[in-house]
Amino acid sequence: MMDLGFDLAGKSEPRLKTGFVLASAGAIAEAGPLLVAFFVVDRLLAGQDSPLSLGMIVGSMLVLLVAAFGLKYVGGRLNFSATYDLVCETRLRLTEHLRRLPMGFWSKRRMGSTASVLTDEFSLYTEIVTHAWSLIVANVALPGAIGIVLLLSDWRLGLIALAPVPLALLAIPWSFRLINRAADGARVEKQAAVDLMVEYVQGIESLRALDADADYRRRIEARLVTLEEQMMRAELLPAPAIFTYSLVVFSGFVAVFGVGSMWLSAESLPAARFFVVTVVALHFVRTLSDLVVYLAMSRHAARTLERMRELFEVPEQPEGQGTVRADHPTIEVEGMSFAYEDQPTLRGVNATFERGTVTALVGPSGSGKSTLAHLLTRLWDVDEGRVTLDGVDLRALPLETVHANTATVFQDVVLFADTVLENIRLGRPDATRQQVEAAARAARAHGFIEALPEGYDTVLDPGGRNLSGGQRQRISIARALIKDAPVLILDEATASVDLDEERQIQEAIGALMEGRTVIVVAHRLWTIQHADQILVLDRGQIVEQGTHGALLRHEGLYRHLWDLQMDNRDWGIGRDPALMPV
Amino acid sequence: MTTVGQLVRPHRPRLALSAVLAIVAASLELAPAAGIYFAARSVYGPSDARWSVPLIAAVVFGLVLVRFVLFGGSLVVSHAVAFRVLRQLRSRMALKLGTVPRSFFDTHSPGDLKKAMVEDVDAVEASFAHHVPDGASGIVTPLLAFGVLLAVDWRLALVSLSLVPVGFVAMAVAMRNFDGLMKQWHDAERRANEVVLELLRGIVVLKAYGRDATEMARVRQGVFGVRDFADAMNERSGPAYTGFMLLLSSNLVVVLPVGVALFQAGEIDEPILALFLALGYGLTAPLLRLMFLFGDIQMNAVRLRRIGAILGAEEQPREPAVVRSSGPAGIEVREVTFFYDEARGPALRDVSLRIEAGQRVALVGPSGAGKSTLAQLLAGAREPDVGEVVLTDGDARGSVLGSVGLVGQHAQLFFGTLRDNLLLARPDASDDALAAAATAAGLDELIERLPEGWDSPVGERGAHLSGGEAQRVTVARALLRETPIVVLDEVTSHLDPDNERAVQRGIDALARGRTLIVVAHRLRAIMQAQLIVVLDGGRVVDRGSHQALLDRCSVYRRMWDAQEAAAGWTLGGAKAERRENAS
Repeated sequence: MMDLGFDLAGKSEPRLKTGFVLASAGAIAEAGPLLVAFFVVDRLLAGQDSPLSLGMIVGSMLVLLVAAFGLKYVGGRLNFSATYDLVCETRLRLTEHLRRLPMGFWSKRRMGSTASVLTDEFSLYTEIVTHAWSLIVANVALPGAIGIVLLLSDWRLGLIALAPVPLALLAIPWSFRLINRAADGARVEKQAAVDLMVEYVQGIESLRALDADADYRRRIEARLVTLEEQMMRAELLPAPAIFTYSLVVFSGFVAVFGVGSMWLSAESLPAARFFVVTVVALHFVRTLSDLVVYLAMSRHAARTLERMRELFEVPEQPEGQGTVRADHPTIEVEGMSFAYEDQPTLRGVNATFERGTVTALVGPSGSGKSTLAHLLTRLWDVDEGRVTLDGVDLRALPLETVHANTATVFQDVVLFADTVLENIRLGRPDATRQQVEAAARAARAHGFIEALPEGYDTVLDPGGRNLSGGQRQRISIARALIKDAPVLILDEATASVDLDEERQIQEAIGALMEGRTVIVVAHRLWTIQHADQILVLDRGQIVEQGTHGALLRHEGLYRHLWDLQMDNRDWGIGRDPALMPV
Repeated sequence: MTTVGQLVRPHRPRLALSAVLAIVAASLELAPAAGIYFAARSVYGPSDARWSVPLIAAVVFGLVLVRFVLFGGSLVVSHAVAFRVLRQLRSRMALKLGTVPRSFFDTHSPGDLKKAMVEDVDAVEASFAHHVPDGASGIVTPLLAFGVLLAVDWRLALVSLSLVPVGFVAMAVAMRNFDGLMKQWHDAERRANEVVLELLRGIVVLKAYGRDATEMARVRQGVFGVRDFADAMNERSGPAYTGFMLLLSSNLVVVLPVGVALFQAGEIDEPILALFLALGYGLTAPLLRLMFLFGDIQMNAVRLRRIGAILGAEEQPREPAVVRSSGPAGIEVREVTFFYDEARGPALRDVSLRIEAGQRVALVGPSGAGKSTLAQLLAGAREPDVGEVVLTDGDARGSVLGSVGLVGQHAQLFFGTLRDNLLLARPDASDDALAAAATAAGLDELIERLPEGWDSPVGERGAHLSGGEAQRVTVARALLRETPIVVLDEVTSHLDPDNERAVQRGIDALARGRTLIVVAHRLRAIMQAQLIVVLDGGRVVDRGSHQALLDRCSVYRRMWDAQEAAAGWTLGGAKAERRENAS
């Protein structure tokens, strides 16, 4: 009924137990005045003397108030701090778990929804569970303690007041079920409306240029109307359960009042006892209704929690304990097959990447060349066959070993909003400043880094927005250089760089390739014509293999691609044959 | 803020109804205590004032039933208003984005707009749905109860409330600098979110480099910053906050001793003592609700301001819709200066340019020269700060937007089918026109491959298509638009050879019968343009043919030489040369 997800942090938190005990003790102290009131007023109304002197009453009230304050404060503080600690730990742990999943987990859609679980939804989850826990813990004991006062006051009436509680507890799950069902409907509608609005704000400039924004707004309007209806429905659907619950809880008081009054008329209950018990029963009912409000709060976090549990259940990439002896191992691919989202991407691929050679992977888009490169570093795992490093299956090695032997330069450079120094150090966390600078020099990046406001200590904008494409790529090359791994994978490393900057990238890549086994994924065939080995892929299979010269003579796919590209290179506006007579 | 207010005005009667229902319901909260009081009166009072106690119990139960129904009704009304306001806010904001000047989007990113339109508006729900009933009952119930108690016994009434001022002093202490703290809290949250989002976006690199995210100092600090802030906040405000909560629910602590003393002194009778013991808690509990509500209202004020800022943004009259023409048109840029940001100086300064009907023109220059800015000005997507852009067919500044088509580097597709995406350009296009545009833009092969052809969904923002395929769709749109002038901003950059080929053919088709203006990096692709305009630092430095520019323009020559040198480079080329020399 109350899953707040504290187990997800992967560590135990003794403060939660202490906090619970202290807060409960605080609640008992808070209920104390009622017990005192019972003893005193019961006698007074019966026309007897108070068992406690006025001074003792004042004293006991003060003691109880101070005790309640101290216990609640210390307990609350422990609870608050412990729960915040746990949810922060959960957030980190989930992020790290995601990193350990094969890249196949991610798709465009997945990225968005997973990111929202860990950001906006997580903020809400944090706020709810930290507060809900403190409040529930502080308030669960209060009706309990008052219930005991009730039973002590008059056990028959006490039982009558407590009788509806089990019934009310049954109404809680019922109302939660209704709330969930209603929320699900509204959530689907909400997501559809949000998707439309997001697309609208992202594409507003295109829509306006096409004069199509008014049409698009009509679609949004229609969605918003249904959303309004759904949300109203979601609000009304659980109403009967909530109504029933409130009524059931309250009926405890009414029953005490009603039954007590009949016993009173029958003179089987002293009037004094009757009034004191009804007053206590009223307090009992009120604290119980408050508790449910706090319990209901936790329901808002339930969906996020459910999705976090689903994410944690996705299995991480396995790793082994094997070792690689060679400093500069050979990579081999044997009978490799791989499917992405059930679409076969690679089938029966065999290849050897000899140490110190340059191998180019080429082919039309969708041929699987990038995927092949990524399978070599375990960004993904093969479905069939194996990739070996020095003869050992990658999956039998610790991931650390695989990473120590390979470095990848991607087309899309990832830079973090951290200093240039730390961004390069990502390649080797223990690198000295001198080593970082040397790598940057070799990557032709030292010059522009020095020109930044604080040189290597300049904090980059998110994604490195304040740098040009070529500058970003040179930092990523420096990162690969400092890693100093024997195997280098270049995944379209120059494809997104402006022509003006291409020359510097080319020099930087030249430096990076020195003495390494290089595997390069390339679109532009003329850049790889000197590779030692060219593997031509088509629909997931290696269809041709050899050197540039041999492949050209073979007159196959490579030849076709080469001719196409030479033709594209010659294209220019104003060279269209149809326009020539103009 | 005022605009949000205007929007809410017509809903006032219903909000008032919700408030009245809530107030009546709230006053019925006093019924149980009143029941106890009257029961005591009938037991302890004079024999002429005796009601049946079971009857009183029944009446109390009935009143409580009525209270639940009324409060439920109040919530239903307030929610209906809230959801309507939410819908209206969103649809007004969407409408607004269609009428603001283009420069608005330079200062409001899609992320900001999404936040305002989705999350901020969501948060406003509580303002109407809960704050009205809770606020009304939170204020009225304690006042009413206090009034009743005063009438019954003013001394005990004052005692009952005596802890409230103390509680509020404690709260004032706890809430010192509340705005500042809230801001710090949001900042801590935002930092944590940013760090996590950045990690997720860069997860491929973290995987490739084997870095454990949880060990990165910046990440830990970012995520645990939220906890640290919560701890600091708790340390600072915790005691006062606990005190406030406790004091507001503990008035029995004062009522009991004073009540007992007065009773023993014969100042009050049994019913009054019972009433105060029963009512004490109910008197102050609504104040707690009120307190939480104020916190919420303060948080929502920021959100309402953000929404108000968008709704109140300055508007610019929209240009008339597409003007189709049968032939190409000329266009002229007259002494245009344009700023993105005054502080950073002009992005274009004093640019003049005359383009004749049917000409093929290239805009070239180093990164940051102002090529794309000029392209957007030519397409009417931005307005010059100084000078003007006019069609030379006549005085038709107003129709630049409708007469010039712009295809950018980043293809923008929308959820829906392939057909929907093409029809955006021309809703009344016939199937034949669609087919012709698709063929010319090289889409035939894609349409055949897609499971449902023309009616295949392209996914959210075109997620099901590759970048090159999406680019082909935008070329097809430009073809359908049939504008006399087309501006292409680097449409073939970063495409793979197959897509590059298709887009090149599409551009050839666009060039027929239109004036074509291209922004290009690859000089080889534009060397045969009739006019090449060289930009540098926001100015036009030269213009002419390829040969003329090579002869006299140093900027152009430098670019050409660099590109020719880069084009000759090959991976491992140096090694291959060594190999050849050795043999």
